[in-house]
Amino acid sequence: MNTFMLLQVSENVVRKSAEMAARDPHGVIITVVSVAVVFTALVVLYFAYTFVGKAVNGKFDWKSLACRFKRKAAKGAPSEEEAAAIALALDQELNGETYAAIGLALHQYLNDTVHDNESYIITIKRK
Amino acid sequence: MHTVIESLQQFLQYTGFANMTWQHVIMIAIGVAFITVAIKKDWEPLLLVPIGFGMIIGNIPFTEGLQIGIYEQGSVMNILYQGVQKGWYPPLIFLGIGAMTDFSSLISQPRLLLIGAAAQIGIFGAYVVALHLGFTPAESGAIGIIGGADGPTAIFLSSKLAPHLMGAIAVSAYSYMALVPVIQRPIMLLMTTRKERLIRMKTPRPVSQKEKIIFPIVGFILTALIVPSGMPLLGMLFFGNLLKESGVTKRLAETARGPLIDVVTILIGVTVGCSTQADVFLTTTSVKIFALGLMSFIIATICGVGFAKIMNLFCKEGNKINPLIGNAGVSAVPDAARVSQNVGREFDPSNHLLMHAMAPNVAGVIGSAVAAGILLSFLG
Repeated sequence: MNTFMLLQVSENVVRKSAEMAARDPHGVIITVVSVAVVFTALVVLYFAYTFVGKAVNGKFDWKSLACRFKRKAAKGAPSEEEAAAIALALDQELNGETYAAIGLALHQYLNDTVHDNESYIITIKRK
Repeated sequence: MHTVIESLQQFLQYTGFANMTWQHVIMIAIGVAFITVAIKKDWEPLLLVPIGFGMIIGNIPFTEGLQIGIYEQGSVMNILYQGVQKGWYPPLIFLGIGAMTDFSSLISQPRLLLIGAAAQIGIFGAYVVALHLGFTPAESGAIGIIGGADGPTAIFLSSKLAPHLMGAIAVSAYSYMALVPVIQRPIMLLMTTRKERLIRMKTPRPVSQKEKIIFPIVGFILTALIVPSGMPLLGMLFFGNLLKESGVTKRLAETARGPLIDVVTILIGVTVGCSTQADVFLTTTSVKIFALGLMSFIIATICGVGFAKIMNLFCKEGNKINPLIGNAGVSAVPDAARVSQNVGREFDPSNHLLMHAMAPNVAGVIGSAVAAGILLSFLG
């Protein structure tokens, strides 16, 4: 049995190699693409493990994530004028101050201005 | 009497002495040198002893037709060599590596994954130079993977892309893996300042069992979805790790990291050594492959250390990375990590970098398997 028959490259490899030699004779394209893919794969793993690590150890801030979603949802809330128009419409229709208050409350709630934002910094002043 | 002499003469023609050439002598001498270095210097003995002895086996000259040579179809050595040629052995080795490797360091410091990615640039640096030396893209890809510093990956890819160069590529990869302390140390010293070498890294946080179980599953799904062609290596690596970490498959994990990897290492070592028959191996092409392999290793080390330094530009004080762990991104588990530890301790005996260096080291294993998958999908 001829040694070189056993060491033959498959036809597919020969074809692809020839195509690559014609398309990318200096190897720059394959280098750039391959390095980018290797980095992408490991960067994806980096984010995945960072997230898993935080999630498993209870350090992931689910609240802030929920807040972000809330804020996103709030973006679709009516503007100040719209809220005022709603309140006016309600007032005209039912003629009650209560409904104006509901409109204002809705506006404030959707813009997340109902609650005060605390600094969470406690300072003790010595007398 | 005449018949006896004739028979003796005929027998003598069949002996190795009669068919011996100077090329065979050189290859046998190289085999003996491998065994000597492995025993005397303790450099990768588990690999160099089987490869060295395989070289001696493969270079005993014989008359073809007796079905004893590694390239003679149906011979015992040829059947064993199928595992290399068809790429069965490397995934089995990866299974064992996965079952014996503790990924805790990487899980606790995932940012060090990026050093493993940077070190893979060596593969593509050698690819470009090999192209310019006249190798085909497929051959260049197979040669470049030597820079991944991973013997099984090199064998896996070269068996697909350039089987006629596999002997030289495998021997080159394993030789340089054994020479990691010699090759990497001067580069590490050249690229780092004394102040950088003294950086103390934060102790990695403890990793829970749950994280260790999630690691191989998430790791495999993500990497295999990005590079499906790397699936045989990545799948077995992560599967082996799952066997280790699941806690309920101890017997399987012990087999994978014990008897199985030992058997496959013996077979892969002997058959790769055997495949270096003088007529196939002793060519100028092999010399070029050795030179390119060395270059690939050097570029990989430079990129690993350099990237650690670049990362430091963005790290806060107290969270800096000791760039001496950058060399470990080239894979070669765990030798490259040991080099980081030893060089680090030369400058500060109480600074232990091994734990930190294991992170880019195992990231290098993943990175080189991903790189092999990419090259296979482009060229295979």
